[in-house]
Amino acid sequence: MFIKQIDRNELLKPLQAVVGIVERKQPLPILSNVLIKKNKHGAKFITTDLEIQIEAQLNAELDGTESSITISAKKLQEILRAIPDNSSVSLDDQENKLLVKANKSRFSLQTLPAQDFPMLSEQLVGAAKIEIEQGVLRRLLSSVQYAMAQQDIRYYLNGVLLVIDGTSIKLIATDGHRLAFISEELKETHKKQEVILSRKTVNELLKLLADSEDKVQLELAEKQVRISFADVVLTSKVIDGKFPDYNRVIPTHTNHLTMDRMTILQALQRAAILSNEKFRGVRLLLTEKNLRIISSNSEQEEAQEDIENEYSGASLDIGFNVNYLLDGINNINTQNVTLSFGDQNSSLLITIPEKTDYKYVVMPMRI
Amino acid sequence: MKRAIALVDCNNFFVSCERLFRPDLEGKPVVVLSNNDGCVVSRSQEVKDLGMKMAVPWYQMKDMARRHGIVAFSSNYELYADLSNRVMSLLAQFSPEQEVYSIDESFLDLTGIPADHTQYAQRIRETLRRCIGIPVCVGVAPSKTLAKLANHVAKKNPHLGGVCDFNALTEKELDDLFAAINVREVWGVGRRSTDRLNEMGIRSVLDLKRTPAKRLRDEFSVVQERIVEELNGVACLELDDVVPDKQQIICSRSFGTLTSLLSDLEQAVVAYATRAAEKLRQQHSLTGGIQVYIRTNPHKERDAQYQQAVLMPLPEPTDDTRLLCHAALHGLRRIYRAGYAYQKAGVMLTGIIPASARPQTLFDDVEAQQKSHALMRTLDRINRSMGSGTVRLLGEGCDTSWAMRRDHRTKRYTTEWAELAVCPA
Repeated sequence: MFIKQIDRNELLKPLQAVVGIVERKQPLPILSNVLIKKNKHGAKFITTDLEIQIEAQLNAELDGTESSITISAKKLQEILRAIPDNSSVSLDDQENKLLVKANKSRFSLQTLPAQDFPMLSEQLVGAAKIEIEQGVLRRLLSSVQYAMAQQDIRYYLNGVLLVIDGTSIKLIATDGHRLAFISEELKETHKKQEVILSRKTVNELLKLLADSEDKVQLELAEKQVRISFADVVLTSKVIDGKFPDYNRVIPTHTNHLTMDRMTILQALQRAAILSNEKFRGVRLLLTEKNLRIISSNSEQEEAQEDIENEYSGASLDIGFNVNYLLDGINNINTQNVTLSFGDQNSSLLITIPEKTDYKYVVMPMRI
Repeated sequence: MKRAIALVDCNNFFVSCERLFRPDLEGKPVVVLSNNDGCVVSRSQEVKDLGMKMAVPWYQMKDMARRHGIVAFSSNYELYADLSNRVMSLLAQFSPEQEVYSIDESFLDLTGIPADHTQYAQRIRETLRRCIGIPVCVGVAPSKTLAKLANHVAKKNPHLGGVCDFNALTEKELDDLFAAINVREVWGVGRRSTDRLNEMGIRSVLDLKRTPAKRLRDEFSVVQERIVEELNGVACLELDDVVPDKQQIICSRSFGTLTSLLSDLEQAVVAYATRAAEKLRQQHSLTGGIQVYIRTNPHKERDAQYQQAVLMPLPEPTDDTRLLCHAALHGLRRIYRAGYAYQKAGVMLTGIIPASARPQTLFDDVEAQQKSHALMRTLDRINRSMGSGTVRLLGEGCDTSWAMRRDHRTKRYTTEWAELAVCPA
């Protein structure tokens, strides 16, 4: 008997934590499987896609000897989900099979040998180690993740650059059209370390990290990162490439416009309805004390929004992809937001008034 | 005012283009073949009269061709496209509104033109014959669908002198005419819908015209309903007078001989990507990605079959031949498998945007962009004035033994200096 008796929810929890990286289509059959390793404290659930490995610990009193099996992660998850709440489940390992029993249901699943499961080899020598709150890391990641490139051939853009420098941690994401930057002060001083976390790693972390004050440990090495929190350990290869120089593209404009965030957000959302379906362009017309937003589509339909404000800089007529503007303004949660402009061909800088931790840069487009 | 929409359709256009430079072939049976001399794609009236069908494989017809002295040409699309442009721009003078519908068809809106439309259409025919030398038929009617049908009537009835104006006929005359035309001749009625219409007892154009819209809506979609409205003289389809830029540019060809060599495929892909890039620059656009595909010959059922395509997205939209070839070759090497006899390769440009809408990006290398622009412009200018392919990438190769079979292609009389028609004095 592999696990004599356990509550369905208890078994499902660690499985849910690791199942996210298991892809439907796998080159190697064993990659569809979860490795369940019985140990002193209960059992460890491990999955991998050869880039990322997630381990989740189940803490429970399990009888019997230490042993390991691998079975289809998705199938086991589906079975457990379909079983009524509070059911008691037993797992019985037989030759090449695992028998799952609950109430009057029986499932016989195929297993693959545990010794064939490909574990990532540790490459954390010389890693920088930092500790921050889970909720903080979660907030930092979600402040920049939307600006990551997707399947770009500049593979180093398909992720988030994470920089530890002295007493600060910085996260940067860009797809070449816009760039999001966020930083946070750390309690201790650290040596400089930079890694690019892959898109999949970032998305997985956002799913797994809780919005809590519990700590998360980050170990960042040249080729690998390990992120440990609660009962979960995520190990991931990092993207091997040179991230572009983000400092160079963050402008220092002096033409500022600070306004109520919800007011401009909602105006842009309305204007977006009639912006061109393909190019998503909106025009911003800045004049003394007024911001006008104009959009039009291929059917010559038009929307216009006027927002009164305290702007006193030079007049400007500039176009942007409205989705990019919405992303930047949507992902902060302060009362006000500051837009800083250069000329018609310069990027726009979006920041939070009186703060320097968040910077969002958008390139203009011709309309 | 009654709507009057004309459809001008060139008579067996490709054959007419060939005859333009071979006046000796007037009155003789002539066909034009598809790429690789595969199928018959255009037939002169004489060939139609011999009973040769459209799109039949040429090798099956060779015997018949020999017996009747049929002259065959390989496709010369450059010539056809150029002559088509001339026809279309001449036609534009006859109406404020024109929709170029295909390479050899154009709608013209004649509504409000103060002339007898039958005579006006005759003038169109006469002008095209005199200025370009391409014979056409003209159908005039109150809707596009009817104009198509009127054109069909003009073509099938030589005694009408190439023009048919439905507006000049009475309701009774029209109905008599429609009763004699099979419903499959109606624009937008395909083979499948013909079968279904026949099952409903609708066989002639008149049957369809008299079918209540409600009955069709239950069986078909709004498209068929619209056809009925149009047949009754209510114009539902407007003229699309803006010629949209191509959203996709495809350049693909079968090889003259099968090849299993990567180097042959590489040459072909570079050549196709080069052509595609030229077309792209011609319409002042940029592309966001290039798709490459290769396949074996699906008709050789006993051979091992393989086909694969891959889309290579570009870091930023471009029209630079070098970048496109580079990406295409990367893609090709990814999908190429040794040991297959390949018959066809192709490239397709997708995500096409106007060059004026090039998005500025944070990491733009403006200098490199300007250099590329200048180089491509120079390349195009040289190739336009000194013949296409004068300056090209070495990747296209010098020995193009894989190239398409075009044994019977005529010269590109109107687009290449080196191939001008010579007239000995």
